[in-house]
Parts: sequence; structure tokens; C-alpha cells
Amino acid sequence: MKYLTVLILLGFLINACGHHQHKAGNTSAATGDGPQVYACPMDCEKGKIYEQAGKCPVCGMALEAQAPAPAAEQPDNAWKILSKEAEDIHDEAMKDMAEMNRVGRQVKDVMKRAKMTKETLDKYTAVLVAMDKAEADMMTWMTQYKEPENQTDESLRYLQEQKQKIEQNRSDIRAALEAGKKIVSQ
Amino acid sequence: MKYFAFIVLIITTWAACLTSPEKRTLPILGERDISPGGDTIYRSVPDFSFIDQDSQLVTNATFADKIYVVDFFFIHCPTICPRVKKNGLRLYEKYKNDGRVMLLSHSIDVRNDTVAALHRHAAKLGVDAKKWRLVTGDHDAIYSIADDYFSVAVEDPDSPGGFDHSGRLILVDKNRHVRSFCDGTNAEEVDRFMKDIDLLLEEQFPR
Repeated sequence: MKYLTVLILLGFLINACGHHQHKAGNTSAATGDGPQVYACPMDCEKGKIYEQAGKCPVCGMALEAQAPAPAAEQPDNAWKILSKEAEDIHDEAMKDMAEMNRVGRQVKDVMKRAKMTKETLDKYTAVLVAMDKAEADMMTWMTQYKEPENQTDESLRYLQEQKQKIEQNRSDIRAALEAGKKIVSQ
Repeated sequence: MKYFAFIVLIITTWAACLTSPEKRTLPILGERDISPGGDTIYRSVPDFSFIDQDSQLVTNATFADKIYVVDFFFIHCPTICPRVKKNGLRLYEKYKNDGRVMLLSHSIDVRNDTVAALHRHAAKLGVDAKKWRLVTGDHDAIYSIADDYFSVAVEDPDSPGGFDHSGRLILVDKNRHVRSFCDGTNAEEVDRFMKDIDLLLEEQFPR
């Protein structure tokens, strides 16, 4: 009976270790410039790290070298840097957008003046639609973007996401601008 | 000896310039043409027609016999506009009771900044619609007039533009000429700009 209890307990432990295996794999992929640290590959003690190599006191496996946890590698002002980056991209994209609108007006002028085949007309219209969409996306981005007030895991994630969105928008604006320039120069 | 006289002449001229009590007048900015008769023709602000926060039509006639300050903004701007707005409010406070000066802000977000949205925004700022017109209108007309106002403020003719998001404030005189501009995000520049407004008032509304 005693043995059974021990067996069940052991089973629980192994189960718990296995459960965190995926998470542990993720952290070891992260990189940072902090000091070298070690952790159990099974993450038996839920995120516990050791400063020296050795064996896990729970399961006995050799500790693996780890990069410092991502939260520890972020400087305190990471959120400020990130939001500045996102906002800088936004400001740049706004400049491109003004240029895009300028070219858009030229495209419309050409469409008014020149007689076009349906095929050409469709091509021109498609460029205008792309410009319109890029601008609408920009306005949507600005409406939903709220600069966080402090640094949390959540606010960092949010800013990363926002930065990606506005980067995408900037490249859409640039693509539409280039497409417009191309047909205007023809 | 000849050289000496020459140098003295230069120094005295220079000193005269420095101490000259003559008032500075603002130049007329922008491109100019010479008419066949030899007169200089300055580029002026073209005709426009927009709708303000109270659904009133705003045209050039709205600013007849007034000088006005122009900017471009949008309500949901996360970066530049809030700083410009702060300085715009300084202008508003200073010239609130001066009937000769008006403010004209164009929204470049015609989708979201509807008349109703502009109305709410103006109410939030607590500004008088007679003094500060927040306008919307045809998308291309707004972007196009932005180019007209800002073309005079372009230092580098080859620069790709985008001035409608530069945070610039533009000063227009009674004759539809642009006379000064500044970076609306910079409080010191705005101080200098306000002095320009006062200079223009003295010039165009002599007592």
C-alpha cells in the first residue's frame, strides 16, 4: 500500500514535469546578454533557475544551460522604445501616404483625360482601390492604437503586435505608391 | 589707404544695419512669377470650400479681411497632432478676443472625422466655432490644398513631401499669401510664430 502511494506520487511528478516540457523548450530558445544560467530540462520546479550546472533535485536530470528568461532581458524602458519605434513607423508611413495621395490624384487625372480600354481602366482602378485600402488601414490603426502607460508582459506583447501591424501598413502604402507611380509614368 | 576706406565703409554699413530701427516685415513666401508688365505675382491660396464642426460652409470668404493660421490634423492622431493641438490652444487663447485672427484646422481623416466627430472634438477642446474652424470635406480637395499651403514651406524641392503630417502651422495674410510658418510641435518655434502674427497684424491693420 505504501509503495502504491509512492508510485502515484511519482506518477504525478513525472506528469507535472512532462507538462512543462514544451514551455521549457521555448525559454531555452530565447537569447539574452545576461549571465549563463541553468534549469531542469523538465522544468520540475516551475521556472526555477540555477547559477551553476548540476542535477535537478527533483528528477535528477542534468541541468541545461539556459538563456536568461525573456522578462529579465528586457530593459525597464523597453515599452518606451517599442512605442517610439511603432510611432516612428507611423510618422514615416504618414509621409508616404501623403505622397501616395498625391500620386492618386494624378492617376485620377489621367483616368479623366485619357480614353482607356477596359483592361487598362481596371488596372488603374485596382491601384486606386489599393491606395484607398492602405489609407483606411492607416486610419483604423490610429483609431485603435493606445499607447500603454507602463511596462508589463501584456503591454510589450501589445506593442510588438501594433508595430507589426503598422509595419505591414507602411509596406502596403509603399506598394500602392509605387504601383501608382508606375502607371502615371507610362 | 584705399583698402582702409573700403573696410571702414563695410564696417559702418554693417553697423548701420545692426542698429537700424527699421521694423522687420514678413516676406511673402512661395513661388512667384513676373507678369509681362514686370510686376511680381505671388502664388496665393486657391479657392476652397469645406464644412466645419457646426455644418457651416467654410470658404475663402470666411477669412475675408482676416489673417488666419492653418494646420492639418486628425482626431485619432497618436503622435504629432496632440503636441500641435496644445500649441494651437495657446494661439487660440492669445487671439481669442481678437476678431482679426482666425484658426483653420483641416482633418485629413475624412472617414472618421465627420462633422459630428469634429463637433464633439471642438466641444472637448472648448473652442468657439467662430474663431476656430475644424473642417472636413472632399478627400482629394483636402490633400490637394495641403500641398498648396505647404508648397511654400518646403525647404528642399526634391523632398518627397508628406507635409500634412509635419505638424506645421501656416500663417496666411488678408491677401491669401502665406507669410510665415513654424513647427507646431515646438513651443519655442510657436513663440516666434506668434511674434510673426503680431507683426502681420501691425502691417495689415494699421491704426
